[in-house]
Amino acid sequence: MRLRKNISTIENDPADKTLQWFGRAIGEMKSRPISSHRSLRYQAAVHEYRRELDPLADDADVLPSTSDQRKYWTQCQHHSWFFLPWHRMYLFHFESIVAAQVEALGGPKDWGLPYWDYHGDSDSRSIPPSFREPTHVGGETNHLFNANRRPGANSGAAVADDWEVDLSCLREAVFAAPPFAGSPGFGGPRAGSQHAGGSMGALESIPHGSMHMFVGGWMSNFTRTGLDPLFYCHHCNIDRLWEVWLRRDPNHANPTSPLWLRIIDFHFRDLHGNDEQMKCRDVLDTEQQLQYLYEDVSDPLMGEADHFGLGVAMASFPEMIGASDTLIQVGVASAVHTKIAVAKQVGEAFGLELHSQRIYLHLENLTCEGPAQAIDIFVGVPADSDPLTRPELRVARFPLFGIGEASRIDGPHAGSGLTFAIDITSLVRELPDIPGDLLEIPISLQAVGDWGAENVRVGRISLYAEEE
Amino acid sequence: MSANDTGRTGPRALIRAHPEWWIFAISICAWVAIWPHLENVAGVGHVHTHAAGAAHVHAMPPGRVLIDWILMTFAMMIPLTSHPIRHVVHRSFLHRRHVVRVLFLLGYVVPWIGLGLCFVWVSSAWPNLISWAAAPLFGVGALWVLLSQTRERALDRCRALRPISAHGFRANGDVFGFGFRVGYWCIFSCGILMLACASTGHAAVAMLGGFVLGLFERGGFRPRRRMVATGYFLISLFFVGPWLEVIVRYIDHLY
Repeated sequence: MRLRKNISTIENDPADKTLQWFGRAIGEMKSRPISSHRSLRYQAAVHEYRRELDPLADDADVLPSTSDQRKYWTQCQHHSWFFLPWHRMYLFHFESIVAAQVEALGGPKDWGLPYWDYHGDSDSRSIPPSFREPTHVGGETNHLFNANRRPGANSGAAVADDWEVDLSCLREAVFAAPPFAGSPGFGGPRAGSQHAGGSMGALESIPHGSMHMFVGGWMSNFTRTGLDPLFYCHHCNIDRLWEVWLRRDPNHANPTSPLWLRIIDFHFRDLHGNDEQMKCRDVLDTEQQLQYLYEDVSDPLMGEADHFGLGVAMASFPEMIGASDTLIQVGVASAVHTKIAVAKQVGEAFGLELHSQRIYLHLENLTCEGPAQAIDIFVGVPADSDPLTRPELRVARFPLFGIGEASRIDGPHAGSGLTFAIDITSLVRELPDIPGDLLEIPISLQAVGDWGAENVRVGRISLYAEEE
Repeated sequence: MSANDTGRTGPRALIRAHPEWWIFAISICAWVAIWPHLENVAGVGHVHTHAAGAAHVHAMPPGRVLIDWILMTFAMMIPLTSHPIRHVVHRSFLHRRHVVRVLFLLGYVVPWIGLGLCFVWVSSAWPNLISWAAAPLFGVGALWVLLSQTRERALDRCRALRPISAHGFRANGDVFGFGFRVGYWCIFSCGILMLACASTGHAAVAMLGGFVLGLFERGGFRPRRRMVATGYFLISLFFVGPWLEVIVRYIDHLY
């Protein structure tokens, strides 16, 4: 049984050599060619591989066969309910390879992948010290170091903001949302085998996407992210949060649909290079099925209630009540303001008051050719005001991790872009009432962080209502 | 669909959650309408049946050939549009859900009708070509599935989602255009195979086999190219009869 420990715990215990073994194993993996499934480059390519973006590409590279690449590489699952189980499978195989290497180097047999728990004090919100220095005290290369991170990351100066480590995702009541409407769900929307344009689950958005963009550099790019050892510790924490969510409320449960549990096979090369097929049902119990557990899966929200209760099964389905009609461009220059008019009487029966409904805002089909870090969404800011002066009206900050990949016309998402959903019920209920049958909901978008010259295009903003 | 899956249960919620179910009903009706053609099984050793099927194609008036083509499209292709159908319905106002379904479907079949017109023209202008075309078309289709990067991109693009307007004529135009776009890319991915099916006179092996392979291909995370290509290649063997006749006669002539 492997114990996956908090990096902070390890760093505070001089006797614990988990990170040193991790670094040495990564060093061995870096020395192997990309054709070897036990190399770091191969493991990174399992997430995604595009030759033109490979920073370590060399003419001497001998790539695996085309059929091998098709079967085992560029498999990462995002924007769907497969996000969490696939990354669990991915980490499981990565950990087994690293652990075998640790054992071969004379380390412990039960080495476990450490996780980076950034939801804590300011120390935990910086890159862990063990990952920052290019060399160890004696001059030995620190293979956990990666120079390709955001400015200030490796000096410890960069500290993640509150929004980037926010754990409101744990307050989602359900794992899987309907594919096109309403709450995003904790784990992501229901999807078929092929999924493009789906919204992100709450956990995938924040803190998963936000911390990818916080570390920046290679971690902000799908192809390169697996080349940074910190990526695996980040995803280890994401996997841990899945366990935390399941345990914090007895109503929280994984999907039971066979479409999730057993229809889709995902293929990996196991430790010995053999083909291994896994389904979601094979990775639900980390102890019994995968032989690992986490040092700490206690509830960081101290029992805080979910956004809405699941005590009574909900018989309704979210319904669109309003939408913008023009494409919106958001850039670094200034905020963009728009208004969406919705009827005060909404719902299928047209007898339901808007204020008795839960209201969700969707940003649909966000695309961008260049880099973009995040986008702020405000509700209720007057058109002549700067949203940044009204922080209390900010409903969400969405990290734009993966927007470039999702915007590529020739990629698997075929240009569908990213889609986000957020609950804005409380802010809508605070809007001043105006005479008439319509309520105008002001929505403002503001670019945040490191942006390129390109604007982000928002395909549409829409509002959905759901009976509460 | 259990509460744990999405938190929503009840028959009304179930129907609202699956607006694509109606296209399965249309597909079933199309299968029923085209059923009389399916008794033409065809295969190696069933040369007469195949020839009769092929003769059936070009003995019919062009309008009838086109209708059969459209029925075949409804039967085999529209069940594969469940994902974009859900997209346009859920991204539209509730009172427009019937309109957008119809508009999407109309947009979707327009490019297929275009391809069908080409087929009608070829079968009218070169009727004897049809009896020879099935096997090579399935063979080419198998290679297209196996080797073509264009097809792989077309499969991605026919599943891609686009923003659609919510109000007015622009909303109708966007939905129709989206359906057209999906149909256009579907032709790149499946057009050759549909031509092959039509050239057999809608033989059961071709249509049912092609339909099952189409569903199977989309059932996994990655399109199962090798198995699907093998399936199409095996179907091509059913229609290789006329070519075998020629080869046998040629060998006879030589010896």
